[in-house]
Amino acid sequence: MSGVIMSEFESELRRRTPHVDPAWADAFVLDLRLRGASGAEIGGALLEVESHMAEQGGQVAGVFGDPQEYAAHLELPDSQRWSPGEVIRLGAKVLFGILGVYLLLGGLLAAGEPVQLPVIGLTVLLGGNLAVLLALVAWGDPLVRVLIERPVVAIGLFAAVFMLLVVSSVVLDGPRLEVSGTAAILAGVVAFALAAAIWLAERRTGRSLEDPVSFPGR
Amino acid sequence: MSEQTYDEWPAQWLRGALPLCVLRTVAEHGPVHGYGIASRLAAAGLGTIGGGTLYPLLARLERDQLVTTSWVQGDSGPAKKVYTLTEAGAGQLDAESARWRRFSALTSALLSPHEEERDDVGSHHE
Repeated sequence: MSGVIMSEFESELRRRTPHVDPAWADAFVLDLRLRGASGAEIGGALLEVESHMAEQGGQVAGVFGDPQEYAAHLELPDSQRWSPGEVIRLGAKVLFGILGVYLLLGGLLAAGEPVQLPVIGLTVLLGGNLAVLLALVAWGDPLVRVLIERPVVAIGLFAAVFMLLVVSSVVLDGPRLEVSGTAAILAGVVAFALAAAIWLAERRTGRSLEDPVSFPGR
Repeated sequence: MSEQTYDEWPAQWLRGALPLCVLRTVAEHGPVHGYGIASRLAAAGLGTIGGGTLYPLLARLERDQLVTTSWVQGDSGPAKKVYTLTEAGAGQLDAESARWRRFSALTSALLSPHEEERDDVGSHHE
């Protein structure tokens, strides 16, 4: 979070917690985020540290210890746990989205000719992406922690898995489903429309993914 | 007790007694904020209870519905989270305090050799 120009959140964070070492506060907020604490819970926990330090003085690390250990000991509730319905909607969105791209590109590139859809390859692509998605839902926090602590390794790993899936879908042989170019384009549009419909329904009724850190009081 | 700093109480002793001492402090001074609790515990001779120990304990007491919390905005400085004892907390405090006193009396008796025993030991040596 360091930098010459501070974000609106960062300047609010510094303004509200002048007695807490910025590096300690950043590590604490990040760790609570990774543990799925809500923005209000994080703001409250940090403000409690601030009010203690404002009265006691001294170094926050000396009074509260390591920020990650302190965050763990607080055992704040995980507000970002996914419900089964949310997992199904997310899975459907991703699958329809990938299928939409695949069919649209296939239909357009075929330029009026029939499209040969590799059944096994397409199954591997969709199934693999679904597996990655479920892994992110199940072990999202540790995976994001790896992404933050070792970004090069994590990004390389994600890219390798995705490339493996794409290449497998192309090179794997097996039965092929022949559809006309127009049908592929139409199916692609329908798949996209379904993904968009789920996304729109979530925006209207679902919870927001944005949950900014908020502080009680002035 | 002699004048001394009490920061050297063994951590395992404090772990046992601290939840009850915190509940008692909240019962007597609530609504009270975390630093207020820490100050009163220090003044009572328990030594400096670090934030890393106190607030996770308060969070657990809140999860167990033994205390409730609210935020109060002072005239100056940041808003403070204050703790108040619940009915369940008062019940737990009464019951556990009575048990602790029995435990404390028992251990104190065990740790204080009786006069008779000392006399006995003395006579055997004679």
